[in-house]
Amino acid sequence: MDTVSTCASAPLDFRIGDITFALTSEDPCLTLEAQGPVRHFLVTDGVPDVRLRAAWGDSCAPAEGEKLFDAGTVWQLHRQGQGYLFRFSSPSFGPEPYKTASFNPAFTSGEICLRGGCFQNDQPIYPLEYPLDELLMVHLLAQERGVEVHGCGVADSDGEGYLFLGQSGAGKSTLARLWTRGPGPHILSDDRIILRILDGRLWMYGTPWHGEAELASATRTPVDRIFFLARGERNEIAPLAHADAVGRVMACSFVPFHSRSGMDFTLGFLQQLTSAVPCAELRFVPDEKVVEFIRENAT
Amino acid sequence: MDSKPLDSESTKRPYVKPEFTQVALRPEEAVLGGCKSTTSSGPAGKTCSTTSCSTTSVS
Repeated sequence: MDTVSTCASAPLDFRIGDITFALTSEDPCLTLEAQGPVRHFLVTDGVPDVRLRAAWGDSCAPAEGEKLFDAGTVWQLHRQGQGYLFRFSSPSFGPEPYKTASFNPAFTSGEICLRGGCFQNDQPIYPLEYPLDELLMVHLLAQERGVEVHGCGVADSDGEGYLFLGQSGAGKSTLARLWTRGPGPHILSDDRIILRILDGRLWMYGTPWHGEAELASATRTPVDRIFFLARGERNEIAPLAHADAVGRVMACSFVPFHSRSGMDFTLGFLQQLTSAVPCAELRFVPDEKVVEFIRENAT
Repeated sequence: MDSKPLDSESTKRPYVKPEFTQVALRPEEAVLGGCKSTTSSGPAGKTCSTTSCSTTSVS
């Protein structure tokens, strides 16, 4: 795996969706490493918005507060004082979590505990390994910043920004590969896009969380059109009613279902973005003709 | 009193009965549970190497 190694206590600073993270470890036995596409998001400037510390532990924090959400075998969320505690489990490691992450109420500071014996202690570690990184981002965005969506973002060579939304199997990675066949277009991600409204404009950001096409870019571009993907026998664009568009974006969004305030904000944000940007269903045939079709018919 | 005619100059929009539209939500994808395949969410790749998907204990 192509990686950037650091010393045990050297911080990893990275920026995703204009949110800057500082990840440190004071544990001399823990070497932090940016693994995979997140290394393209490393930065050396800026004041961190989120400060995280990681350390080894023989056992991680028990869940003493109210269980707020249970995602099944992978992770659970508990109240911890005024803040939150995520517990990550796997059947391979028994009933105790292999990792926990506790956060303050604003998710701007956190402590990550890695249970010894569940990892190769002599190897560098990226403590924010999935799904913790995305869970943290989801909760940060829901605090009146934006939303993460299941989508493919394309910055075309003429400056147009297209956002293609769809659940797994809808064709996001397929479409992304078709866009990359020609020069010019830049793919922000073929699977996960962050949306934020800044300075009165809707921006989409690339993320390190790519799809099967493995496309990830630490850039952003304004969103000019939103398309909901569907397979078709021919390429066609079908306009959508506003309410329909809001529902469809919601189905492609990653939201903190346990948080009333987070859901309130997210629904309002989705209403806002679907009002600001034309939304339509794109029924497409997965070949190179769809790219020109979009360019000719999107406006 | 004459009733106001409903013509093109009326400011009232025609009534549209509210409708429910059902949108499919995939629970495991929506909550970032599980790993990626053609039918579920998570990090991409034929072999998911995240710790949560590990099938063997290190120690």
